[in-house]
Order: sequence, then C-alpha cells, then structure tokens
Amino acid sequence: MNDFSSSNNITSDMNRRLILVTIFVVILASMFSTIYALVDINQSLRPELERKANVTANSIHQDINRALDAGIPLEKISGMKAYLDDIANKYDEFLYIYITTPQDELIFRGGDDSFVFDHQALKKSDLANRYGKNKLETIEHFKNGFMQLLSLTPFFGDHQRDQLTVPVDLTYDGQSYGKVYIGLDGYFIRGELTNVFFDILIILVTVILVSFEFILAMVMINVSLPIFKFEEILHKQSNSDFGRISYAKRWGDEINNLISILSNSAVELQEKYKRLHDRLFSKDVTAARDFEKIGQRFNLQGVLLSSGNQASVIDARIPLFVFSFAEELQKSFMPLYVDELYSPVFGLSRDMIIGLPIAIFMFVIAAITPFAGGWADKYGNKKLFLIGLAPAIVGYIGCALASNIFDVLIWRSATAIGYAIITISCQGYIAAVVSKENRAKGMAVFVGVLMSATMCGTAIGGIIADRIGYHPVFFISAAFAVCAGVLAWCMLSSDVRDEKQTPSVTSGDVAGKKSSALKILLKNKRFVALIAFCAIPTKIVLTGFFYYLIPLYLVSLGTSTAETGRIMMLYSFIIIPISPIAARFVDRTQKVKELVIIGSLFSGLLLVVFSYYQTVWALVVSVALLGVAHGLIKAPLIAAVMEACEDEREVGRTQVLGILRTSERVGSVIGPLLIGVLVSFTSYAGAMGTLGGFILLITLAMFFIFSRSPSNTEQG
Amino acid sequence: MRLYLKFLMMTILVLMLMLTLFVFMSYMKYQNILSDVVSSRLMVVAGSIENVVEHATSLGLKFQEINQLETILESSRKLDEGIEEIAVVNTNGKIIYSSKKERVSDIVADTIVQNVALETKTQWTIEEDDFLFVGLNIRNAVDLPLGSVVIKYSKAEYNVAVSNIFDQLTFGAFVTLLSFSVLLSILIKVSFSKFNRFYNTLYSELSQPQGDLNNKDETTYLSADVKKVRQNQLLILKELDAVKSKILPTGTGDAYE
Repeated sequence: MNDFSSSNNITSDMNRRLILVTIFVVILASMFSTIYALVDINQSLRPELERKANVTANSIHQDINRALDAGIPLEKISGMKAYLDDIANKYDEFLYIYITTPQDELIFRGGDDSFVFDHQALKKSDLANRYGKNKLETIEHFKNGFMQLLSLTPFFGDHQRDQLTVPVDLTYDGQSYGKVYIGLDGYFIRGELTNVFFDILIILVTVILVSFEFILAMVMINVSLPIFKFEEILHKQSNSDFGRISYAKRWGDEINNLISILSNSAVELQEKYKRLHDRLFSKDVTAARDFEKIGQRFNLQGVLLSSGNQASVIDARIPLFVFSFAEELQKSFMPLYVDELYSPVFGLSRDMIIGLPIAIFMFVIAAITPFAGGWADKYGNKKLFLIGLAPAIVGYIGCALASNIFDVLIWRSATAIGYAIITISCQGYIAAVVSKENRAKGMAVFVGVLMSATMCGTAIGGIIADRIGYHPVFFISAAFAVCAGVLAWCMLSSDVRDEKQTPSVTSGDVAGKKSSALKILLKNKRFVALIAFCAIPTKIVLTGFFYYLIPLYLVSLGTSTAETGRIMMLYSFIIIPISPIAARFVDRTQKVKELVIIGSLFSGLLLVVFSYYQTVWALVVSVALLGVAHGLIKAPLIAAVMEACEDEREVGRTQVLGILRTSERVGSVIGPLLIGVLVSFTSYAGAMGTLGGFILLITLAMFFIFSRSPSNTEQG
Repeated sequence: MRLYLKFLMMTILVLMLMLTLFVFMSYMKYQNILSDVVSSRLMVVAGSIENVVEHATSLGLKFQEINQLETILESSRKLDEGIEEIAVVNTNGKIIYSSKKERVSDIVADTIVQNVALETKTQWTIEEDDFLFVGLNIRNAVDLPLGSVVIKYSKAEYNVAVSNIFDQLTFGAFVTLLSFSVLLSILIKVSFSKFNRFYNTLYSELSQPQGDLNNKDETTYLSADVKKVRQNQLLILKELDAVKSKILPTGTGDAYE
C-alpha cells in the first residue's frame, strides 16, 4: 500500500519536502554567499578605513610644514598636544597620534594617553603592514578576508585594540624630520565590519523569507490545485458523473497527465454517446429519448460542475505579503522624508509635524477598519481587496510626487484607507476559509505574513532609499501593489463568503449594522474581557514599551541607532516562528483562552522582572521574550475573539475582526501616552515595571472572568 | 514536463531570485557604506580647512581676506587623488576661494546652495553619477553661518571599487547557483521518490487494459475510486454497445468508432 492517505496528505507532504529542500539549499547558499560577500566587502573596506588615517596624517604634515614655513622649529611648536588631541578625539576610529623623529623617538603625542608608547611596536606594525600589502593574490585575498572575518568573533584573531598604521614621513625641503603614526581603534573597525555583517545577515533573513513565500505560491499553483482537481474529477467519475471537464492542459506533468487520462476517457465516451444519439435520433425519436436516460445517468451531455470552493489560506497569503511588503518599504525613511518636506504648519513643532503622517495613517486605519469589516460582508473579500488597491496605489503615487507636508498627509491617508480595507479583507478571507479547528493556525498565517513583510519591507526599503532616494521607492511600492492586485485577482476565490453572516446585508445599512454589531458584542462578557484585558493591553505594551520606551531606554544605555534597530528586529524575528507553533498547539488542544492568559501573564511578568536589570542585555532578552509572549498571544487572541462571538449570529466574522482591529488601534494610541506619563513620574525602568504590574493585574481579572463564564464549546 | 523537472526549475528559479536579490542588496549596501567611508575621509580634509577659516575669522580677519587660503586649498587637494576641486563658498553659493582659481566668483549648483543654507546640518553629502560633493558648513565666532567648505570628488576610483565588488558578487552568485543547482537536483530527486511511486501506481491503474482491474501489486488511497471509475467506464461502454447492436445490426459498416 502506498504511504499517502489523502490529497491533503500528498499536498502537505509535497509542500513539506519541497519547502524543506528549498529552504535548506537557500539557507546554505545564502550562508555561502554571505561569507563570500563579507570577505569581499571586508577586504575592500579595510584599506579605505586605513586611507582615512593616511589622509589625516598628511593633513597634519601640511599643518606642521606651515609652522616650519613661519620659521618655528618642530620641537617649539606650541599647542601641538591640544591640536593632536583635537584630531584624535574628533574621529572615533583614531585612538592616538604620535609625532616621532625619523628614528622613532616620540616628540609629541595626542589622544588617549593610557596607551603606552612602545618603540618596538612601531617597527613591527610598519613591517606587518608593508608585508601584508604585497601578498594579496586571489586565494590569499580570500584567505586573508576570511581570517579577518573570523577575527570579528570573540574566539579568533588578534584582539589587541590599537593598530598602528603605516607612518607618514615628515619632510621639509626634501629633508626628513620625523614621522606621523596614527593608532587606529581596532574595536571601532571591528564594530564597523560587525555592522556590515549584521546588515548582510538581515538581507539574508529577508531573502529567505521572500523565498519562502515564493515557494508556497509555487507549490500551491503546481501541486495543491492540480491534485485537488484530479481528486475531484476522480470522485465525480466514480460517482457516475462523466461530464465534460473544463481543463486547460499545462506543461503535461504527472498530475496533469492523470487529469488528461480522466478527461480523455470522458471525452471519448461523450463522443461515442453523441454519435450514437445522433444516429438513433434520425431513425427513431422515441428510442432516442429512451437512450438519453443513459446520458443523463452518466452526465454524458453535460459539463462536470466543479465544487468550486477549494479556497485556502495560501490564496490570501501571497497577495497580502506582496501588498504589506509594498507598504513597509517606506517605513524606514518616512520620518526623514517628511523632514525633507518640512515647513511650519499650524504652529506645531518640527518633531510633531514629522510624526503627523504616521499618526494620521494610524487614525485613518482605525476609523476605516470597522466599516471595511461591513463592506467585506457586503462585497466579498476578493472584490474588496481589489477596491482597496485603488486608494493605496493612488496614495503611493501621490506621495512620490508630493511637494509639501499637506500632500504627504493627504496621500498617506489615501494609502491608509487602502491598507485598512486590504488587511481586513484578507483577515476576513482567512477567517472564512479555515475551519473552527484550524482557526488559530489560519490567523497565525495572517500574523506571520504581516511580520515577515514588515521585516523584509523595512530592511529592503531602507537600503533602496539610501541608494536611489525616497521618491522612487513610492513608485516601487505602487508597482508591488499592482502585483499584489494581479495575484489577488488570480488567487483569491470569489466564492468565499462568511457563512455565519446573514445574507441580508444591503447597501446603506452597513453603518447601522456596525453600531448594532457593537451593541451586541458589548453584551458579550468574554468578548469584552478579551478586548479590554488582552487586545488593548497587548497593543499598549507593543507601542508603549516596545516602539516608544525601548529605543529611548537603549540609547540611554549607550547603544547606537543601528544596534537599536537590530535589537528591535529581534521581536518580529521571534514572532514569525513562535506564532504558528502556538497556533498549532491551540488547534490541537483547543486551549485558546489558556494560551492567551499564559501569554499575557508572561508579558507582564517579564516586564516586571527585567525592570530590575538596567543593562542592554536585559533589554535584549526582554525584547526577545516579549516576542515569545506576543507570539503566543497574537493568533490565539484572534481565534479566541472569534470563538467568543461564535454564537452572535447577527454579527459577521469580518465585522468582529474589524472591531477587534479598531480596539487594537485604540491600544496603540494609548501606549505611548501612558508610558510617557509613567516615565515622567518614574524612570524608564520604573515605567517598564509599572506597566508589567498593570498587565499582570488585568490578566488576573481576565482569568477570573473566564473561569466564571463557560466557553462556547462547553455550552454546547 | 515531469513534475520533478518542473520543481527543479522552480527551485532553481527561487535560488536564482534569492541570489539576485542578495547580490543586488549587498551591492547597494556596499555602495552606501563606501559613500560613507569616502565622505568621512573627505571630511578630514574639509575639517582642516574649516579650522583655518574659523581661526582666521576669530582673529578678526574678514572671510574674504584670509591670506594663503588658496594655497592651502591647492595643497589639501593633493591629500587625496580623487579630489577634483576644493572651494570655499559663501551662504549665497558664490565661490570665494577655490583650488581652481578660474572658478572664483562662480555660483555653485542649486543643490549645493540649498545645503550650504541649511541651518540644521553642518555636514552634508550630495552624490551624482560621476562626482561626490562633500560639504562642511562654517560658522563664525558668534555662530552665524559664513559659508561652506565644498569638496568635489571624482567617483572614478569609487566606481571602479563598486564595479569590482559587483563583478565579484556576481561571480560568487554564479558559482553558488551552479553548485547548489546540482545539490538541488539530487535532493529533489530523492524527495520525489515517494510521489513517483504514488503517481506510477495511479497511472498504471488508470491506463491499464480494460478487464485487468483486479491485477495490482500496489494500491493507493485512490485505488478504490479508480476501480470504480474504470467499472463505470466499462458499464457505459457496455450499455452503448447494447444500444448500438440493437439499432445497427452487425455488418452494416456503420461503425461509430
């Protein structure tokens, strides 16, 4: 007996194998490429960094020569120490500067005095540098680069901090009178190269995430759909339905060959039947009518009707990823773009104006989402997705052509309308296609796609904008949004409808339904508890603690902007794998509310515990653990909210999701304000601890409410 | 085309996409980093000129009367081979001193003037295809803007370095693509063995001669359906033949096949 037991089994097995193989090879190839790129970039950049020291030494040479021109002997130049100190302190990569005699005896020094002047070290560094330069042949180049790369790790290489450059000879009228040595800060150079390493690593992660989405789409088009099609035809024919199959043969692969066999045999039988029928009809009409009973029994004159709805989560996954990616491309530079177009408006401060487009974007999303939920029930998710693209694309093009702050505000609002519509239509689509048992898993896909798109879009957008400027990135976004539209057109099924929603939604009553839906839901204790004690607080923690407090706190502890950015990326990076694992656990055990409570408790607890350790590493760990906590909560929370509203027959699922998302936006607004107030009364650590305590308290309240109200499943 | 080949092509396409994206992103990243490194090196030169100007003005000299500044600009230009011109401009963008004497009194390009006038930035960089302009805005003792030291840097050397990196990255990607395509073909072949078995069984069940329905070594979960389909086909043929033999007696030559 063959190992497969169902079409789902084949599809998931093929998906798993293909994804594993491809991801394995892609990761391996990426690692290889990363090392190769790093070695090359490292080898190319190091001399450039050293060249700066050379230019500085020559500049010092010129300045000293000007003093000599004025008749001042080298030893008598006053203020030389301060002059050298000034240069050494001005550039982070320089530790100290020595002016020596041609015999390497120290005359002046500037910069960090804690480094002892070592006469022998000067000779060694000089030789080492010159020796190194002669040996850079192809293989040596790669070997050298690789060793330098290894030296970035704490385990390999020479970790002496100061590295002397090749000296610049001081000459005047052709006579040598000394040398300039500059001590490069090895930690600084290593830091710069480590930055490059992490940037390349982020590119690597981005590329892998994009590849993953691409493979999923490919498998769906080439395996899942044809196998479902084959199985459907087989079932129909085994149940005596030999209707004509509408089937376009593509790339005759094995699955399509199987479909062809079934299709050909059906066509053959139909043709036989038709010829016989025509012949019979010309001879004896009554006999022909009798004969038609055979045709009817086996559907030999008809068309094989497809059961149609083979919609899956993947249909929405790819278009949503491409659209979210397009949207996230501008995230990394939006404040800088607004700063470029800054002009005083309404007497607001520059900082407020820079934040204005983001605030308005959030506000429009919050305002539109509940209505969009109603529209999804009315127009269908596919149509709504395509409708949502119009304002989004117009918004991108408008932003690219914007010439002042008002343009940006208007066009970002347009994009926000599109974003709200598209995300809610995708969420509604996923909610409609997944079964109750797989709901958390379906929602984990939604969460995971948004997180992946955030990581990829932000990283790629930042790099592209640095190179080609801000404006073209908006055009690129518009192009990607168009691609998302084409994908949605091809992949989303029009038949997907929320079967829970009553079919009587007509135009004009969306707003009315919305308010009545809210009224109904407000009477649902479990829904209210989930929104008030979990959805809103989770967003408060996200925007207040993560987006607002963490960057400020990290900078106050001495981390650079780039390091802060990387630490923040850790959050999304952890949520992407944790969320589907948590969802699978929920779907298997149906312990939705338990996981939501555990996740909330965990997030509160970690804030309280780590508020006592005021170090960078404590914050890194707390960001990572927050990723775990929110990974546990995000998808199960959506499933829990839908489960809580399962008995509310008058309210559609997309409407429930719309109200949930609006509530979350409210939390997003409260977060920074609340933390701002807490910080002004306490400290960063104090605000963190207080927020953690608050989360713990309300989670206990939620636990109390849940333990007193039976779940839907228990009820029924 | 066989599914194995189709998937091999697909995964190679993914790999190619990944490597293209990787080369493209790394190349862009390198350009950004190199621009920063070159700008920071040129800032050293600009910084030393800024010192001279600020010291002179703090001693009471007028901006336009700093002796030897042109000589200093000329000698500073030689600090880096790529420097084409060093100029000191006033806040209106008029060149007051330049390492190219014939350029004195000229007005610099608008994009540079905008940056010279910036209140919020002291250092700035403008990148064009062939040149990099690096500026350091100068202020007097009472913190009023005087103008800017502007360095025009030829990107010839920079472009060579960037092009070298691109070539090396492309070469690396090409080698990676070739070697990993071989690995992919082996892995996919192995992964597909189970599916091939399934397909072969189904194919032989569906395409075997009629009347051979009970002769199978291996079955799949769809075998029952396949058998039913085959039986239905036989049934239809049988019924059609029965009607045919009734209305079209044998030997009439009215074959419909």
